Amino acid sequence: MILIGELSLWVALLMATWGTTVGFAGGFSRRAELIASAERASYATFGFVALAAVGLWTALLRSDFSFRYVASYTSANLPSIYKFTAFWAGQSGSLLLWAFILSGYSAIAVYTNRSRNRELMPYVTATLSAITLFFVMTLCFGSNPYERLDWIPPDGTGLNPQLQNPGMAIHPPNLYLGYIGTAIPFAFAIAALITRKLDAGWLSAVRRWTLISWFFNTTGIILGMWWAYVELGWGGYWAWDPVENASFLPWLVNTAFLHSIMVQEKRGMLRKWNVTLVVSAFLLAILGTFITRSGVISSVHSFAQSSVGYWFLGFLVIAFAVTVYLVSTRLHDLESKAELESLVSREASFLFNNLLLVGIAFAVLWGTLFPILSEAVTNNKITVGPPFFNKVNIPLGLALLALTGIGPLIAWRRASLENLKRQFTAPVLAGVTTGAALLAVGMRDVPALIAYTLCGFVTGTIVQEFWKGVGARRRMYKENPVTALLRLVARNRRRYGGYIVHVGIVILFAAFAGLAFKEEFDVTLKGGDTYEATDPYGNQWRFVSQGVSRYEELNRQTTAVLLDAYRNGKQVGVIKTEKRQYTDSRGVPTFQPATEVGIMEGVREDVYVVLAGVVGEDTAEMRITFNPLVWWVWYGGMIMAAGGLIVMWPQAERRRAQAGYSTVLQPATHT
Amino acid sequence: MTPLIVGAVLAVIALVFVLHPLFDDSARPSRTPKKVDVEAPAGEAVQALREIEFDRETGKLSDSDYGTLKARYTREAVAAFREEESEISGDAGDAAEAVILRYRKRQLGCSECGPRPEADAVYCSTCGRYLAASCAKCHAAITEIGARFCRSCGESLAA
Amino acid sequence: MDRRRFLAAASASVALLAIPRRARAQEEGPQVNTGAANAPMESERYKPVQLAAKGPPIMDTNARDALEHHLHCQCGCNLDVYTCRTTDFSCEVSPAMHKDVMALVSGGYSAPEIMNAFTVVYGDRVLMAPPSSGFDLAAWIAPFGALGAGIALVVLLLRRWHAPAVALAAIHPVAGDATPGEQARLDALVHRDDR
Repeated sequence: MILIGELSLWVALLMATWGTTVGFAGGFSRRAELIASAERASYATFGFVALAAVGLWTALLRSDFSFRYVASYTSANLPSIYKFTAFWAGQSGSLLLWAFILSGYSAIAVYTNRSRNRELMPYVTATLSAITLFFVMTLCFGSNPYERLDWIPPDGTGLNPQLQNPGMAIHPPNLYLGYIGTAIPFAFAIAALITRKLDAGWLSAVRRWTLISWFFNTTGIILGMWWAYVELGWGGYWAWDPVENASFLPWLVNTAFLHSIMVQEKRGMLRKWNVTLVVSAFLLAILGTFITRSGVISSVHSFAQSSVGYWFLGFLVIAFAVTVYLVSTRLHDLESKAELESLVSREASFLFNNLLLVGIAFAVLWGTLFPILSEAVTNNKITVGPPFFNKVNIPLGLALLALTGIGPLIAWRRASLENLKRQFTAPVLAGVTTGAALLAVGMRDVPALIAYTLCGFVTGTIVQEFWKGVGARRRMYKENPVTALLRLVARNRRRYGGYIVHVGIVILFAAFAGLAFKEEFDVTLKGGDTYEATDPYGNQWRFVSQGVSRYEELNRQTTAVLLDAYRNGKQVGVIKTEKRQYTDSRGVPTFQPATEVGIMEGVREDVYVVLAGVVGEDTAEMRITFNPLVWWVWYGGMIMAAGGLIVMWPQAERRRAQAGYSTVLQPATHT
Repeated sequence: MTPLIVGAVLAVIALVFVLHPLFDDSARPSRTPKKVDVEAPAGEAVQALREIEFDRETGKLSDSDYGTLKARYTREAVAAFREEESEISGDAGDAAEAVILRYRKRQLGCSECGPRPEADAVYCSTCGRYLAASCAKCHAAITEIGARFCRSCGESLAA
Repeated sequence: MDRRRFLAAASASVALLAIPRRARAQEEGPQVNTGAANAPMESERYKPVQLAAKGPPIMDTNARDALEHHLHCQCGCNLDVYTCRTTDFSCEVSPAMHKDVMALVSGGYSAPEIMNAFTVVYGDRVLMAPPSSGFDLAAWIAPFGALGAGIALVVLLLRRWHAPAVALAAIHPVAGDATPGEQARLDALVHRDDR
């Protein structure tokens, strides 16, 4: 099986090459037999990449240490589930996962479009094959997972302990599903640009795939935050590290696209902008992969050993050049009649929403790359850390939050003063009440106050939207409130699913703002010692150390400290915080000691205890952190995902016409 | 040895699968687009009217826009009703009648002013707008003035 | 600077940003023990920052911790000194930097003076965010500059696209010529949601 997998990689290379060549040839020469062959080649590519993946999995599960990859990332005593997930622990394995998901997506895209978008499909197939070809080529020549060692080590290095976590088992494939999802819209955009069929047709396929990509990107990011929070131990879930930023960029651009496409549907405007967003999402995903996977940023050592960075850079340059060429030669075809009746209109608010999303994306990209730029210009090493990103993004994020509340309230085309009054009264009241209440309770942090006021306002908007929607249905169709509510969402999934995503966003912002009240304590406790602290809500906490214990587990030696936690004199739980030294099957330590954070979760706050070190026999150095509202990050994320699912849920073809009516002044002429 | 043979066999199967369309016409998928389950034209207009109604109720449309849009889509819906009726009554007619019917069906009429009385009009006689039509067979839009064949399915457009 | 050197420099500088995620930086190739992967480097990464005491301490523990949140640990992580020393079991750099901070605090130095002393020894990379002077000011200006330019552009476009609001209403103010029967049929359809 392993050998078959190895061979399959090369057959996949052949198939992807064929698919690319024949796809473009068939498209340009309009020869049906070539196009059919290219489409079959994309199925075959998927089959062989899948075989290659199965082969690598087999090698990992069998612990065949003659393969460098298996020896580098697993050890004999690793639990099987982590042998399985070690597939994406290293560079070549994760490239194979990329290729696997990409070829799978391609096959699905080709299959679902077998009788749709026929004029685009030759180029879509060819473009996807070309991207797959790039990855398979990188796998074959740059970083081959099937590379053998000239000796067989008795045991492997083992899997990094930080990756031995359920979050890490699902987070990377999840994020990849999101990243790679941008490739399909990109391929459709390229096909539409080549054929100059830039009317609304290609966008419906693209919207669907962008949603899929957005959904996985969202859940992937949230899972990654969760992993960082419980596993890395620095007390937060987002550190603006380049890897995180790389996953955030396509998300921002996809989000911008999902909003601005509504303007194109209703008004036929923003066509150039939408194409730009679609291709940028993909190019940013590739750039992100280049930044992280190439090792350019993660580690000096792996970069020196690997040529993969250059492969990605080359691909990025080519893809960028092709895209710029295509867009610039097709500008004329993307002309649209743009007319706006009023600056106070839904259309205008979407423009500002896009501006902010792209502005945040720019700020994040700029901050991520700035150290490189600064060193090139001034030869001076600098750090661009969380304080920078927070300072820059907090105002932008708050403005975006405000627009989340404003946008849905404004009418299409133009809003009358009376309309504005009617729409804004309740939400503004909700916001002001929230802010005033918090001020009265004694909250003094200005950004947090603004954030919560806006959260109240946006919540008001969303509730009002549902309220009015239910009311309208009751009047129009004489339905009872429950039916009206259910049908409201079911009949207009895009709008009301979108509002549910907004609910998730509000919760996330509320949770982020909670971090302003985080409190940290540096604590050294002997067994039996007590530490007292006050949390941000004013509760008195008492922590009593039960001392340090040391014991061995399956593949590690553990040092643990138990703390009895009392809130306002009442015991509320026992917190266990650990350091783990992982060992291989011979008992030799592998990797640096890993943290296992002790977290006492709560709706109001998490008590987060990190064991920083042990002095002597029984004295533990710890950091105790009160992290307010972190729980809400995970649940806000779930609500966003649920909203995304509602929007994505397939609807019968004839029901899908949800743009409904068009407010275009006159039909766009396609001559 | 066995894996090599299995690999080779798989590769050959794949080659046959991929190259087959080059040698066998029947393996090619038909180029005619699948007929999408299109709602009756009246259905689309009714759907639009529902949303116009709903959006006014929820404050997404101003009253004046509501009036205009409602008029526009009402016109479309009514035109669709009439077309349906003429279709039903014309069903039993002779071949010549059927050709005319087919031709009429293609001519959707002006998007602003509704169906045209002149069956062969190229421009709207009320507002002068170019009258886009659609192919009777595959419903693709006919956008080129004077086109004689559908560019999507090749159906003859001349009556 | 050619591309190779540019990238090498890039990787070197940006490597300092990465969290101590050996997770992602795990090297190819079987290693017997990566436990001390960056240990030899640490002596070079830490540089003493010492000044003679000048008076009684003027900062309390909270102020000191806040200060440490603005100093970038030099062990190769993406964390500040406070977070690194209270998180990473094996980092030797952050406790050493912490000792320097404590010595300076008890020597009577103020927060800006301590930051300054660290910058003199390590350079600007010891700050968690780019300094707002010289070329690095661009880091701060560009995002807002770009946003400002974007707003200007959008407003410009909105003005150019601005059309009289009556356009849609003016085309055909009259309703269709629906007969009462047709109108009734249509109303019935619109007010029945049977999709």
